[in-house]
Amino acid sequence: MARRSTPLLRRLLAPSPSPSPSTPLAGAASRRTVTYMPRPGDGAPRGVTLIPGDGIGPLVTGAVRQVMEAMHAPVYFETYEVHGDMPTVPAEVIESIRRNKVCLKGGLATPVGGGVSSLNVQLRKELDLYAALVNCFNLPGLPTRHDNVDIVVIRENTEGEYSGLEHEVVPGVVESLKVITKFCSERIAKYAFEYAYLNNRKKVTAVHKANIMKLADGLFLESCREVAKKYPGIQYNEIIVDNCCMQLVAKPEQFDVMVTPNLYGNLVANVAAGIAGGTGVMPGGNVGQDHAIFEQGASAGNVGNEKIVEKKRANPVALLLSSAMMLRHLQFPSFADRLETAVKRVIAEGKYRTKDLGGTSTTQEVTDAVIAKLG
Amino acid sequence: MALRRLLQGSVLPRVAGRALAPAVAPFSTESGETIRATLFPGDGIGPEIAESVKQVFNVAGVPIEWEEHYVGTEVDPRTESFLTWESLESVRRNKVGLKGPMATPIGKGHRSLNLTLRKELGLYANVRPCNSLPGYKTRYDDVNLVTIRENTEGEYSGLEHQVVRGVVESLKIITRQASLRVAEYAFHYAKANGRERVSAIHKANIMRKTDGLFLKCCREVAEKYPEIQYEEVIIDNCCMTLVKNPVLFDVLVMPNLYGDIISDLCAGLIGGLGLTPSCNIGEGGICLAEAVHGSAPDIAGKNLANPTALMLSAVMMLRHLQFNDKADRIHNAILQTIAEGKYRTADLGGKASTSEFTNAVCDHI
Repeated sequence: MARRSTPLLRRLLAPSPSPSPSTPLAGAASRRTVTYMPRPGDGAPRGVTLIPGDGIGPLVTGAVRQVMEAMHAPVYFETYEVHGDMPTVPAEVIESIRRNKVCLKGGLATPVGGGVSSLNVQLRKELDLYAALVNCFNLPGLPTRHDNVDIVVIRENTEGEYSGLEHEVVPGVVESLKVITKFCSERIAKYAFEYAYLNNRKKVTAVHKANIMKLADGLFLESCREVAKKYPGIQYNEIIVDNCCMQLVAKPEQFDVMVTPNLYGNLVANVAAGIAGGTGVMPGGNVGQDHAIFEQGASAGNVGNEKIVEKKRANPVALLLSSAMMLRHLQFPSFADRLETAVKRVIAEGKYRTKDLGGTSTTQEVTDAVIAKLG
Repeated sequence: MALRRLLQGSVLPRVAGRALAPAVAPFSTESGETIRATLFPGDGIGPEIAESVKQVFNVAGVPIEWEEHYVGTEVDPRTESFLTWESLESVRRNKVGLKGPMATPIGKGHRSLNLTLRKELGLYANVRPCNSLPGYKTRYDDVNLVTIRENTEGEYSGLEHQVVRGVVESLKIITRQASLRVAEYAFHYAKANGRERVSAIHKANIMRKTDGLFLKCCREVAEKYPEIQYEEVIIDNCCMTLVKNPVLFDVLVMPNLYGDIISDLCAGLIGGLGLTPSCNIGEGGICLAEAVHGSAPDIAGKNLANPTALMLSAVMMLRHLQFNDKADRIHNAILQTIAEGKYRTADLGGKASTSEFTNAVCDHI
């Protein structure tokens, strides 16, 4: 049930609850003294376009719906069926996203080597969602080989190697164009530094291969350096992509925010997500000037296999955490906090975990556990 | 893994045999005949670790005569680089070589050393076996895979230009010929080393024509080797699986860019470039084994360098020459020395010097 907000005076005079050592997260949520003061009318329900997608998509978006209903969150979903083998995203879906400005989506599987261009990429280009963000962090209670991981990978989402400009020169020789422009490099660098600034992050690392692709990645680096000068409080350094992957596997704690062009961003995001727990738990999304699409953090084209779908054992954590990010984006921070806390508590407890985290629960069991833990 | 440690004596040769043999080469293995091989000691720590390799080979009685060549101090106009024509001719003639780390000279008007070697010798495949070293603990214990990377084209063609101010294009080129060549080598390697599975790594859902062509070529070659399993893995899943569960991979074959990143990632899984052997295969059966780490000028000449990478690469070279029993003995000696832990160089957390480590390896042969 939605908690009625206690009058400020009563809350200030009430004895602050001492944090119990077994549930530190509980202590943090109820001791919140900084209140967000909304404008009148901010509580009106917001429309969110929902695209269940393929494979495990419908399962995990269903989980999000259930949790949102249980929380009575002020969002309502407009659902549209889109599948990866459609030639283009239907116009009505794009209309809806333009109207609502926010979308939550399961993965869309792209057929390999076929004649269809990826719908994930199409959506991003159509709506000019130029920044893809993946937040990779260790979840308390989930054992992984690496500790102290807290990396945000910000990846340019529209150009680079994913321009889709390929042609066969003569039979047996194919060319693909990688395009880097100053405009796109500058705006992604600006986004990365702004993100670091707004989220109290200390360091931004640019990932590149400018020793080989001197002009293309050189242009990217130039843009990053220029923007770095405007944020003297934030450390900036550069690292070559192969060394970066090696360092991620050996010493991930040295990375904070990473900004990369399109292809390297894909690889680095997947490596970072892998060391922190896997694609099943990392939240992320795509954001542009006017719109935002939230989805599972890394590898949006990975929709699991039929076995997982059949047995309904997909991991809803990634999409639940992404929907918490979405709630913050819509300026409902309290709901976002409650959702995140509940999810983290479920993971920390360890009783309800899906197969990719080493457990045996189904999607529904995890969802029910999260709903039970909503404060 | 525990079982492997218990049976260390008897199991290691099997692991070694599977792990490091490159292509079957047209070499005669009559005993008594020495084979000439080119040696590029390189810069920085290069000469010291090259000496270690020579010492180990002497003790093991390997019939190799080294032709040493050094990087010159001025640009040779015939090769447009600091490597002389004679050095390259030597490798072409001997068909076998070992290269230490070379510092890249700065400046213009010449090609980089690696580029020169690659182009002049037609080195088309880079083979890097990554095996966890028993006794040297990293976060991953059971890595046992080989990365085979196409080395000539792809994203590293170097063809870039500025279209208008602020817009740059870079060409990625995939040809049927180069893809077939590296796929052939990958399956051949898998068969010759008793490997069961070859995985082609790609991003053909996005780069449909280029990586699509690469995959088509791999599929064609896969049909000729029905006894070897073949699968295709998208690079996102590959990265994820490598950091979560690297034991699922066997042989990986990839185009240039992915290969660069993945092979360094795999080197990171087993402990870094200081422990990883590598070998480049060229047209006409040329095998140039190399150490992929840097020249470490700060510890040069101080007897502190770790010769493991160069030694393991030299073992790869021996297998290419089909001196399998000698290769096994040297390989086991290296693994035992590291496993015992008494003589380890500083980068592995020990205090031994290069010469102490080398002597320990020789004692184990």
